[in-house]
Amino acid sequence: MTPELCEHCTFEIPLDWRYCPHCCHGLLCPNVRKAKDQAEKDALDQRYQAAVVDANSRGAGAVVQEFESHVLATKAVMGVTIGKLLPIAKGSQDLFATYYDLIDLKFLAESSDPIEWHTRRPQAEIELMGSDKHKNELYYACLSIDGTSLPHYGECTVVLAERMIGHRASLLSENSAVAYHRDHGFAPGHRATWADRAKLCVAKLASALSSTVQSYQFAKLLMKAGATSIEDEFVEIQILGDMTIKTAERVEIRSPKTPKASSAKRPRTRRGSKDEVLIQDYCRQQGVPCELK
Amino acid sequence: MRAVLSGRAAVALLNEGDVWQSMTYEAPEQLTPCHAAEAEVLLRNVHDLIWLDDVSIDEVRDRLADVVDTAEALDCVLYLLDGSLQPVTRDAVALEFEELAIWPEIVEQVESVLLASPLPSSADMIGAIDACTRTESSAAAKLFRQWQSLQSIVVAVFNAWLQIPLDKFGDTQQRTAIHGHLINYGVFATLVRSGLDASAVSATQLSLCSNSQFKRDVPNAVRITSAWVRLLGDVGWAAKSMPFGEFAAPPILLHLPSVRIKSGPFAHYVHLNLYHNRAYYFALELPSNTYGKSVRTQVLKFPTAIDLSAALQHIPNIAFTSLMIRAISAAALQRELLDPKPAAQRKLFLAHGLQVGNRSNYHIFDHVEVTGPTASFMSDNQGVMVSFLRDEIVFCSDELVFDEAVGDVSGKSIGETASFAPWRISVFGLRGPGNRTAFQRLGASAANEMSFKFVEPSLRLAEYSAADLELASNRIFDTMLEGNLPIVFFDELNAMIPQSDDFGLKKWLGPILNVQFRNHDARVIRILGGGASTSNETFVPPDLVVSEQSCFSVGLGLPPTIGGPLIRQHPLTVEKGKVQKTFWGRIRDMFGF
Repeated sequence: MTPELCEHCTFEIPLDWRYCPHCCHGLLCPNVRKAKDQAEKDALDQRYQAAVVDANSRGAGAVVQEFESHVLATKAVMGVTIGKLLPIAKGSQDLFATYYDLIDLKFLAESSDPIEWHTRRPQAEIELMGSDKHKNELYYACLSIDGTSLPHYGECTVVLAERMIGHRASLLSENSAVAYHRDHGFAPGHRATWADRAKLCVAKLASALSSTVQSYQFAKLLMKAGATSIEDEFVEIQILGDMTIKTAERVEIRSPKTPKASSAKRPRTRRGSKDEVLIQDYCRQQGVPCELK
Repeated sequence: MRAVLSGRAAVALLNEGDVWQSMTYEAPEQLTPCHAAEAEVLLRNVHDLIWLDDVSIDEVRDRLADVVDTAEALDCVLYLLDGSLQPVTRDAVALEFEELAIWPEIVEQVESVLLASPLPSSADMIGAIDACTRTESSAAAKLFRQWQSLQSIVVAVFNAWLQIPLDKFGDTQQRTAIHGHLINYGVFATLVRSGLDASAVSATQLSLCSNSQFKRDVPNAVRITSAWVRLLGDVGWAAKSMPFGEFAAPPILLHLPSVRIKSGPFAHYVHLNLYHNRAYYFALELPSNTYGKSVRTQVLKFPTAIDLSAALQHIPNIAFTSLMIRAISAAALQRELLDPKPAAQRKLFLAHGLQVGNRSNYHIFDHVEVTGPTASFMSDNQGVMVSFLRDEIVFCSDELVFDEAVGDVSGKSIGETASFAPWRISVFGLRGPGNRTAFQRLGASAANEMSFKFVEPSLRLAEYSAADLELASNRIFDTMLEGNLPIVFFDELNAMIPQSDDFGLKKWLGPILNVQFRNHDARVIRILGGGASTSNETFVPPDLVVSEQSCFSVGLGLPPTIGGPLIRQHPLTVEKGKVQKTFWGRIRDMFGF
């Protein structure tokens, strides 16, 4: 990676610092700086140009162009369970959970997966940020055209406000832990800054776009839920730094199809029935629109 | 097998040797293998861990169900008490809580936390009860009412706990740790539920001190509980009979100097009726500067008799924006005030007695300084007529002179009740026969016949903040309670009563409707006026009246058969132009005005 100089004092700055150690001038987040590295940008440009040329040769240039314009309007979304979102909306737990906070029973239940997440995830994060210094501050979202999130992560979709995350977000063309597990690293041209997200998506998906693809199909192309979370296909967003409910521009809650289970000891048919309206109420108090679907 | 459980995470981790498994509340039959490192990560942000040794899987499963249900029940209770939530939200919570409120073991666990300290002033108990009532969650509603009624004892138990000398614990850290153990053991709740009955408290103490695990967890358990029980004996007898039933969360904190109390609407009226007890309470609102708005409230307790000078010794040369003396026998207060004491110790100001907002020209009472045996707040026997209109308060002045009184109360009726002072007279009637006129003339005739002076500032309620209006009306009630307003007129009461489902209104009306005095002590009559009612019951709904009252009802324009029994017994008909002075004459005779 090209050595980077502080804009203010012009001395060289280490990658894993968020402010200049020499003059304390604020710096871009390490993940963003990694994505902005010239070699990465050049590689992404090459992939993007190649994808466009290929699409034009197949007569799909217009579709790709339309897809690119749709991607520019995408949102960063997080799937969150009602149980996790409720304390956040309430403000009693101000911060969204990082991956490490989110290692919960669902994770344990999936621990028979071929991927050892608890080892792969930190390795991937070191690759994403250059060190493990900030791994406890990294949050994950995915890029969504239609504002939906992947169902494996919870019933709630938190749509993040671009102005709250754009400056600290980097993107990878797929699930970073899965990619790292497979390739032990990230090939050049597969990560991008928030501003370059359209290029990344075109580079990734242009080959799947033919002249017959309709615009309504773009959303599923960009984000597709698999049978398990490992099989999910999406463009991953890494966001460094804290997030609260005010980081969101809106919240959507999909009503669970079945009520929360209770113990046999005390059957409770209404367990969890309050949660949706509680979240909605607390979001209202925080000034964040919340819709029940 | 060992296990660690968390109600918040709804998970249990089981360990035997190198084998780790997890169990969820939702699927307790399914055990999922995991690693010790994962377990550490899983529970790193959880603060309600329970460690169990030598347990079976079934026991873990059973215990997990308990802790999760308890945690979620407590959450429900806290959500229900959250006044910032919308009614529809609280309704949903009430319905969910109802399923848990029927389980005594869950309630007991919830109470171990909920009854361990007084509810904060922000806790909306009334709203919680409303939500339970709306959703017909009867078990939940019953619990909240019970917790509301226990608050005075909670306060007593908690304050006694605070007064245990620190040396009994060792240091503050140990005190904090022991506090946690006592909550977990449900000791606070047990003491509260005992009603501070001496034998029950002793039994609790004995039970605790014979519990070896408790004694291991709580060093100095015997010394601490003994000190606690002794302190409870000092305050408990007064607290347990304190009536909180109809009113909001208790603002009263004993023996705590400079306690800030939320000035909710009429919250301090929880002190009403305390004259039944052997203790008297002074609630003193102390402005940070003499007339500033910042107010701190100090509650002082006087166990056997009112000793105003003792109160003043706590805070010498004090200037009150209001002397709020709650439920103290007016006669006793008067005796105290008039009892000759060195003036320097008795400097007392009732400053800006009825100042509303910034309109200093609307003072009703002059600045009164009580320094000697002859002084009183209302030395010239003033009366005030207060009309509560929908958006106005009208005080009638002595310029309103009517030579006609309306009504008649038979001498027989007066005679029958002469030994039982009526302290509420309701004036109501059908729409149209001149209720308001009759009411005004009733007041005017009182002024005329009894030489009362009336003052008439007319204030538009909408121009003032709720706090200012509350302050003003509180002072009317205060003065009334002190027996210095012989007759107080509340007109257009029915304008507010149709909203009687609103508990805020009940709190407003509570002091008017339910204030009690010993016979002849206070010598105050409240004349409640309003229109469009056909019976005393519809005029003053029975559910707003807490206790039995002595009451005259005056029905206007009603055939004798329409009104209730009281109306039939005491008919009053409008006879325009006819002056009936016997009414006030008899009242005067009866009350010795």
